[in-house]
Amino acid sequence: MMNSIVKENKMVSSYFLFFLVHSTQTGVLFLQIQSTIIKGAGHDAWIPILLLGIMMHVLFLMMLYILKNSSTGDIISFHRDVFGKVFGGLLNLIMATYFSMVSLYVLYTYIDILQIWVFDGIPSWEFSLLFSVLIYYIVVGGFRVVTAIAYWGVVIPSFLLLSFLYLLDYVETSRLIPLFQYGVKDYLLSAKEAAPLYLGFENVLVFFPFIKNREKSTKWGHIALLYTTFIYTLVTLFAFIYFSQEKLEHLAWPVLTMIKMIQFPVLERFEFIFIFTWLLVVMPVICIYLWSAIRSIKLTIPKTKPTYLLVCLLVVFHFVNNQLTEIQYSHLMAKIVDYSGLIFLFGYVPFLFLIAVVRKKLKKGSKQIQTGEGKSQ
Amino acid sequence: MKKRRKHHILFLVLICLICLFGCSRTRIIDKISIIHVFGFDQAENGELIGTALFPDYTMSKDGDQIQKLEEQAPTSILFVPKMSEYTSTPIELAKVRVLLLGRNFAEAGIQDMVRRLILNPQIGTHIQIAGSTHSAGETLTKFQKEKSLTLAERLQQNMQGQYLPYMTLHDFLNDFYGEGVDAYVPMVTIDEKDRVKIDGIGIFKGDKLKLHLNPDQTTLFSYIEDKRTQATYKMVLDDKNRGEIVTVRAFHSKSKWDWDQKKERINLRLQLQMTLTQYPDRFDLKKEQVVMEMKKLIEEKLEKDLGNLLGTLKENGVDPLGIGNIVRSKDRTWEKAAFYEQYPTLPISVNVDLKILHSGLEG
Repeated sequence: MMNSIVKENKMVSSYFLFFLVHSTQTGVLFLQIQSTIIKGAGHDAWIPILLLGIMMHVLFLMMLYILKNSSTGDIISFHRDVFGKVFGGLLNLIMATYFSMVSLYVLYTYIDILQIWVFDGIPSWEFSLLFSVLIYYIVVGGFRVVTAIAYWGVVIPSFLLLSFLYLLDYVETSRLIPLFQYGVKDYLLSAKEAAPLYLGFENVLVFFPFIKNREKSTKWGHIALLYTTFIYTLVTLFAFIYFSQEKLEHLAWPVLTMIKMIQFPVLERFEFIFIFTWLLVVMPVICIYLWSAIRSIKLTIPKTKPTYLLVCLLVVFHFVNNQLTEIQYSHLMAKIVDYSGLIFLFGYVPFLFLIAVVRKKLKKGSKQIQTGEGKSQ
Repeated sequence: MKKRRKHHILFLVLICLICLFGCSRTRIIDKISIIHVFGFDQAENGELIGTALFPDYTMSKDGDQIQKLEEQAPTSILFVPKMSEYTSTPIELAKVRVLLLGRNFAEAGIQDMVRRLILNPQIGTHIQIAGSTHSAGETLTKFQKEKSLTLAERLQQNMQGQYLPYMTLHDFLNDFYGEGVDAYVPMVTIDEKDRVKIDGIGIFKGDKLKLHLNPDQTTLFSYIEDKRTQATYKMVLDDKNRGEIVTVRAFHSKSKWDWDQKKERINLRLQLQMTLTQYPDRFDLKKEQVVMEMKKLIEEKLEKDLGNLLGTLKENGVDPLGIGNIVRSKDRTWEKAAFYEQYPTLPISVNVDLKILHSGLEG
């Protein structure tokens, strides 16, 4: 069923799915989440993270099923198949709005980090302009360039994991026990806070036709999800044994505060290196989301030039980064992105999955009737 | 071809942007005032007095010029703008190495300042925080006269090689906010010859300085708290005879806490590996029996002194060892208020297990 309109020379090898999925999942939220999830299940809050990570595989399978039952192997055609041209198109545009909003949010928060931690007093527009040029350069190059950035966005920042070895001296494992001390409600509260962490792989719905050997490539998606879960759980555990719980609650950026401890004779502040390297982590998120948004619009409204679209979106991004710098906007944006992401992932994807199942059943039924009629004739 | 050129132009623009942005703001070392030591005191009207020491690189290079600034402000965040009024170069907090708390200030409560500290991304966490038996301003004035800025190193080397337990601001903040543990800081004092020296540790209860342990008590404290301590401990066997002194130097220590939930008592097992650095001549350590005797002697003495130390801590209701946290991790029914109510009478038995590694060139 998986017909594709993507040319072979624009596709990427199947193992790149690993980098694409993993890199879109790790963004800025990862740096802050530890202090918010602790409000629910305290020192046990790493358990919801682990369980959520396992749940993601189910959602991923649902997505694959949806894609399998669409005419060109992406959600854009599925929308059109199911809801018709007008309504389906509308849904595509809503989805594109969501994608571009996440992209904007990540960029916005990263600029925030830069201003808080490193360059206080440098106005947002300078960062925004600089990054806009960079994003334009990447996204205009097409999916293969975006994939390349995703690849380097996973490989290069991996060395940052080594920095945790330095911190092993300062951990206190007794902070983790006793296990399972909290009630179900607390775990659910933590899970709700932690769920937006895993956002990102919904982009698979859009870029999946660009992967070679699609049937075989799904294992790379699962490996990526596992890897993400592993890293999230590990770092969260680490934060819990590194900070006392009450202190952790006071920290807005626990991972960065953790990294602050690292000191070398020639380098007083390692967290600067960490934050700058983190650009490589957020760049794939921004670019893949933006690319997905543009592709959704492009396929819905024919005759739009993607380059112009990109420029328009970047102008909007620049405007928002420049003008809406007040603190309440960042909270508002975080809320909107979190909720719409959660609705998309935990509400809309299962909903589409159900539709896909029902549709397949109906099709099968009608086919059987047809073939039955054929035989009887 | 055309597309390529477009990209080249874009690339050029990008490089220009980065360079222009990057070059416009620099912080060159001799054009900023880098504060090394920052002291806090309580003013009489309830405000804070901040004292900062920083080197002045703009003066001639010979003769370390150390500048001191003292300012009064209602909250710690206002010190930098106020101090800047006196300096020709911007004040930079990013390399503060030591935060020094004056005695009055520490005893009045440091909650507000700590809260600001934790929120300030400029201040590192791998720095030292210390208390002072005098006011911080006085201590820093004396320190300025010594013409050095090495208070951090003075503290650190005492933590690594001597009796201070190893700690940084990070550990302090963990303890300060942590449930079931109280914070402590190394103390400095001014001796009779007006020099600044290390003097035990000060223990907080809540956000107020409550107890000052002397060097001997701190040594014992380090044995429990710091597993890599190399503190030397002196034991006098006979007050009248100067030869009757035993000194040991720790090499490695490991403390294990057991909580007996039924009897509500704690057992501390302390495994110490030590070097015997001095002992009376009447002991002949070549004989195994004498070694055992020696071991027993030291163990008993240590157990007794450690018991006294724990008694002092309990009497003052402070818990710098984190006993509350240990019980919390072993007892699901633990509750903070109830635990600390019975803490002063909590029975703690100490059990020292000593290994003598060697005894210098003899034996």
